[in-house]
Order: sequence, then C-alpha cells, then structure tokens
Amino acid sequence: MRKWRDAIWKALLLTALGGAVGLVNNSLKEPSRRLAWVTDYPEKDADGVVRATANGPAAAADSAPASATAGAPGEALADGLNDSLNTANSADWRRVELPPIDADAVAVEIDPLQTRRLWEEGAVFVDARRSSQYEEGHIRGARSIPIFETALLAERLDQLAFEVAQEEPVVVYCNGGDCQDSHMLAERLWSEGFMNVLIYRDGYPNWLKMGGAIAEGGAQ
Amino acid sequence: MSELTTLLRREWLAVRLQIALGVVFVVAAWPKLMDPPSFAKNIWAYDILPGQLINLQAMIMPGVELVIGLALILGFWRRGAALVSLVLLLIFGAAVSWALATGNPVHCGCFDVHAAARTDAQLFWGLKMVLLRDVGLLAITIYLLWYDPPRRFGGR
Repeated sequence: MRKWRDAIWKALLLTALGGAVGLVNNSLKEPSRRLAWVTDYPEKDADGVVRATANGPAAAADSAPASATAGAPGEALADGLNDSLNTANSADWRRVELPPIDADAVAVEIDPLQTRRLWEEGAVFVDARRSSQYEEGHIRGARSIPIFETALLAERLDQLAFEVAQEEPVVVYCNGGDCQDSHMLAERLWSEGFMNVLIYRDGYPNWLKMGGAIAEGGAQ
Repeated sequence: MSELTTLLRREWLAVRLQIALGVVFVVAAWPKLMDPPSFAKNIWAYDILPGQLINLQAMIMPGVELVIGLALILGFWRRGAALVSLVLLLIFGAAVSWALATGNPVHCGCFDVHAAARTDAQLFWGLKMVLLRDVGLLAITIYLLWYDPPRRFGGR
C-alpha cells in the first residue's frame, strides 16, 4: 500500500535525522560528557578473576564472602575513628599486611585498613567515578580516570602509564557497594599492563566514614 | 464501521494522544542527550549489546527519540514518526523483558539515566512497571498508526 511505503520512507528519514542529531550532540559536549566512537567495555560481572583478599589481620578472622569481609572491619574502624583519632585505632593500619603481588589476578580487593596503609605510604590512587563526582569530593591525591567518560579515557590512561611504573601499586575506587566502575577500571588497567592493581572495595563512602583526607575540585 | 471505531476515530483524540506520546519521547531524550556517558553505562548494565556498539547506540538513540518526539508534537510526518516509535518501544520492551527474564537488576534508564542506589527487589518492581508503561505507549502508537484522518470532499 502506498500509504505504508510512504510511512516507511519517512520513518527511515526521521531515524537518519535523529541519528545525525545524536552524533552532533555528542561531538558538541564537553570532554567529560562525550563518548568515544568505540570503547572496549569489559564484560559485566566478569570479575571472577578479581579476588577478594583475606590477608589483613582483621579480614583473616572470617572466610565469609568478600562483602562481609570488607564490611565488618570497615565499620569497626569507622567507629574507632569517630572518637576522633584514637591512637590505638589509627595505628592499626601500620600493622596490617598488604597482599602480595598476584601475577594471575586482574586485581585484588583490599579492605579499608589496607587502603589506609597504602594511602599513608603514598601509593597511587585512582578515582573511577564520573568527573562531576570527583569534583564534589575525592580521596586526597587521587587522580581521576572516569571509566565511562570514554572520550577522556585514552588520554588519562596514557598519562598514568607515563608517570607510574607498572609494578607500582595502584589503588582504584568508586562508590563502594554495587558500584562496578572500579572493577571495570581495574580490568582496563590490567590490560594496559599494570600488574599490581588493588580495588578499595568499600570505596569513597567508606573513606568518608573513616574520616580519611579528601579534596574537592577539578580533575588532574 | 462498528460503533467503537466511530467512537475512536476522532481527530481531537488522535491529536492529543500524538502530542502526549511526543512529549514522552522528548522528555525521555533530554537527560540522555545531556549526558551520553551515563546512558552508555545504562546500556552496558543491560548486558545485551556487544561492547563495541554501546557508544554508538548511546549517541544515536536519544537523537532519534528527540526527533520523532518533536515530529509527533508538531504533527509532522505523523505516521512515519509513529512507525519509529513502534520499533523503539518494541526494542525497549524486549530489553526490559530480557532483563527481567535473566534476573538482571538494571536501572531502567528510560527517563533518568543517573542510577540511584536501590535494592534489587525495587529495581525488578520498577522494571515491571516500565513494561506496563511500555505496553500503554505501544497502544497509543498502534492507535496512531491505525488512525486515518477523515477524508474530505475533493481529497484523494
């Protein structure tokens, strides 16, 4: 029927026009809101390779799943720090053991105390969340590599690879809980050759709860 | 012509429904156009498209939604726009059904692309509501495809 053939042509034209609008819109966005043409997204829930650690003295107590492991010591520590830097508690991080480099694992999940120790020792921290969240507040000294801002990604990764040796520990984090950005970034870093990627599983909310040092403002 | 069709074949009804559908599409397109990476993350979470196509999809689909939304609001190429709407709504419905069937608790990403932290149960409930809404919008779309403006004297 002529009526339908006509409609199909118009539908195709509208789709083409809409596609063009979408592409132009994307190319006019600021870099933090722009997508690259193609990105190799890591597969969802492919973190079977990422191992939760049971190294720290606090974590070693239970062999429960990672969420329980990470939750318990985190809360205990937060309670301690709420009494404003109780010396006994703040010294705990000095005694905590760091996981050994595991060449087979994409990344190793670490608990709040291990994270604290790495931070105190000046390890490289990378924030995997969106630029806007980073600007609102991030772990002091952390770099911003937002995994989903794909227009920025290659440049930021190159910069990291240029400044940081591949054996050095790199701690990635996002918002904890269901947030998968840090796991995705960890996979990406591993594929770029970084062999000591650590995931701060409880992420930024936990850092705030612990009273860790933060900074606000622009991406670096 | 049955009584029902006579009742439904009204220009005022068609025009209002078409504007309503158009507004829905424009409102849905806006946040995605403002922040493509958020929408890309959403599509990624559905875990249906291969990774290489996610960005293209996240760029193009909101543009198409905006254009057909405007076409419907302005009354321009109504049937063509309704056809695109039909295809889009079928795709959305299929994606949401797939998420429900495979037990993947995704945030819909229909109107708000910034996922708020919610429990899986809330997300599944949300997806079911989304499916219901999708069916409603499909009904409007099919009505618009079916609707023929009354022919006037001297018309084709």
